[in-house]
Amino acid sequence: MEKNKLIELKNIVKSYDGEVVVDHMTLYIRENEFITLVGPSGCGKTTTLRMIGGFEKPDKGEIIMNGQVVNDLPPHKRPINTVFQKYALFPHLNVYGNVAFGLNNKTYAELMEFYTEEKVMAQVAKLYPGLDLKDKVSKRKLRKSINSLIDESVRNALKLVNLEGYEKRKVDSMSGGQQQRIAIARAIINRPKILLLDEPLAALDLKLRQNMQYELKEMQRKLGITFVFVTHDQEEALTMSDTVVVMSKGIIQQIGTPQDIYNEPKNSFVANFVGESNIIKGLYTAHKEVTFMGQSFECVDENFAIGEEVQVVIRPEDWDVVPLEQAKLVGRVDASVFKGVHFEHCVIIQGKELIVHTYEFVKVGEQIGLNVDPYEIHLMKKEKVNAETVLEEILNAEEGINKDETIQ
Amino acid sequence: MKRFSKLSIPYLIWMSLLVLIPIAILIIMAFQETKGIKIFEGKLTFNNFKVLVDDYFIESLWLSFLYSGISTVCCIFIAYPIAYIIARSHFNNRFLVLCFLVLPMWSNTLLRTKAIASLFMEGNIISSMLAKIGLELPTLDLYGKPLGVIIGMVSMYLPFMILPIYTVLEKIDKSLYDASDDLGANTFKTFWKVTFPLSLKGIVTGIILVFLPCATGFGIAEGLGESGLIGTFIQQNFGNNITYGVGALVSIVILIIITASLFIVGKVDKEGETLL
Repeated sequence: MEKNKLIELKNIVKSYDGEVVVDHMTLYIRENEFITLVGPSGCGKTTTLRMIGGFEKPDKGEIIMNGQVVNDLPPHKRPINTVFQKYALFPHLNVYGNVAFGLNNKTYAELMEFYTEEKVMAQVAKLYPGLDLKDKVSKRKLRKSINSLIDESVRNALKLVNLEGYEKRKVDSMSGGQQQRIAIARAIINRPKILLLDEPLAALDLKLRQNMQYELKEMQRKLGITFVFVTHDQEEALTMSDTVVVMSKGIIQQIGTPQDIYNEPKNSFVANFVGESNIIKGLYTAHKEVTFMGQSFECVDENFAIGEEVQVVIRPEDWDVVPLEQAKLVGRVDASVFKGVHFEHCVIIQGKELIVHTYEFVKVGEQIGLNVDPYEIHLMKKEKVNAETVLEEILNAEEGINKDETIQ
Repeated sequence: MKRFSKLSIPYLIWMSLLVLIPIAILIIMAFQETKGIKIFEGKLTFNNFKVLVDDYFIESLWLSFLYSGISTVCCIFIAYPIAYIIARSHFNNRFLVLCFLVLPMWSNTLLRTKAIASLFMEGNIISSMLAKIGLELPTLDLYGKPLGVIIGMVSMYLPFMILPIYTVLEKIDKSLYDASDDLGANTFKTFWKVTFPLSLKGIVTGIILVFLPCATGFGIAEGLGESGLIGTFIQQNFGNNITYGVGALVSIVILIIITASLFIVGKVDKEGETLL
């Protein structure tokens, strides 16, 4: 089933003080999908989100919704709600007041449309059993029925985030995880077309974060709302998303399903950012054959010219440790770390370090034999910059000033 | 925490010397009919209490509260927009702007009162200067008039309203405005549903800081030709009339009214964050 495009970004450019944060970005978001923007700090993901939400205006390009350019539409007129990074709950309102805030902002006519007349009339009949609905119902009674519907909505929203019974509590007396749930309830009660989530899990501890990841995914499936999620955590992105957008320096590096992104990274940035990778120089020596480290391997990639230089990506867990006599590559284990589920060996072959994840223990200093299956070998076009400098840039970007935060 | 409790001793001494003991003396004096302070000679009497039903006293008290009430309300309406604009502006040096607003406070109150008073009278410096270049201004005949007193009070105490309101407005998390906008509130609604409720504490603080000195002080009103207020009433009893007992009693009554009102404010504002 082809899903409709909900919102489209076309050639969006945004810069602050002459520094380009989002560079000619083109992206569309479909109905009912969980899309994640992931990238190191300062890659423009939060800015992109804020432009979708209407808090920032793009310098160039168009944001299109329902065939209309909405660049200048203020946030309160967009069918989009946001869960903010630090939740931004209203401290002067209790939990109920926070959650009901969006609905209370709607006018009578808007609420009538929101709940549909049918539902409001049903509520009137429920509240005033003796009333003859064929007569004109007084505005006061309608208003009262709508208010009781709002009340119901608030309770349902709180139920959805497992916070029933907390209506009267002050928001600053709640824990971080609870505040975050309130923020989610406050946003989804308005039944937005798109829910934007700006690193909502960043402030939670690991266990809570993992739980919330599943809950959010589940919520998205249940509600059928499109979620646009921003994170710098690649694991989070892979776990939750239907579509992952990897960004770096304001440019989209790759868009795809989590599997695509992980197994078929388009360039060394993606290969390195999303999970660990071994990137090795190689030569496409024959049809479906690549040679690296002095050995030729069978592979599945076809779109290369014979004799072309390529980059070979092999995930650490894709190596097979085999007896030395069967191995195509033999190296020495230089270091070994126990990671819980697996061992991480640092293997040196021909002066190059490779990362290998296996379940088997190998003593440091011993020889190790490695093989790799054809379908585990992924080839990339050779880039001008090599993998090391890209990796360095990632590290620098993460250490550097968090641009996303300073602009707010 | 216990280690620091000793540090409070100087303040306790200070408090008892300069607050508790003087109040005790006031209370004793309120029950005596003496000329001047003669705490141990006077006899217990309730004669001073007659003043509380005196028309002149009631009139002064009422006028004082009326004037300071009006002045406080004016201060709120003038100070709030100023504080709001500064707090939401993108001036690089908002503190400097604030300083300029507060600058008049650095000059002597009495001097300022006299200066304002002279502007209200005929032949003041501005009109005489303007007269020299041929501009005849109608005289601001405000000296001794209620409007004049209120203008004086407002100009004197405006900074005390601006500062606390500015402080709370400045502290409001900017992301709350985004959140409100996101949840369907336009600028007007955001103001009434987010900004204003969150700045109430500043307003209450401002009211306390403006209303109390307005209601109890006598310098400003006196300087502007109004001598029918309670401050002047007390001053007369301690000054020319040396009927200290009456003065003491009136002071205590006002003290009780103020304490009671602060208590009520404290009850309404449960967190007690109002008083800076």
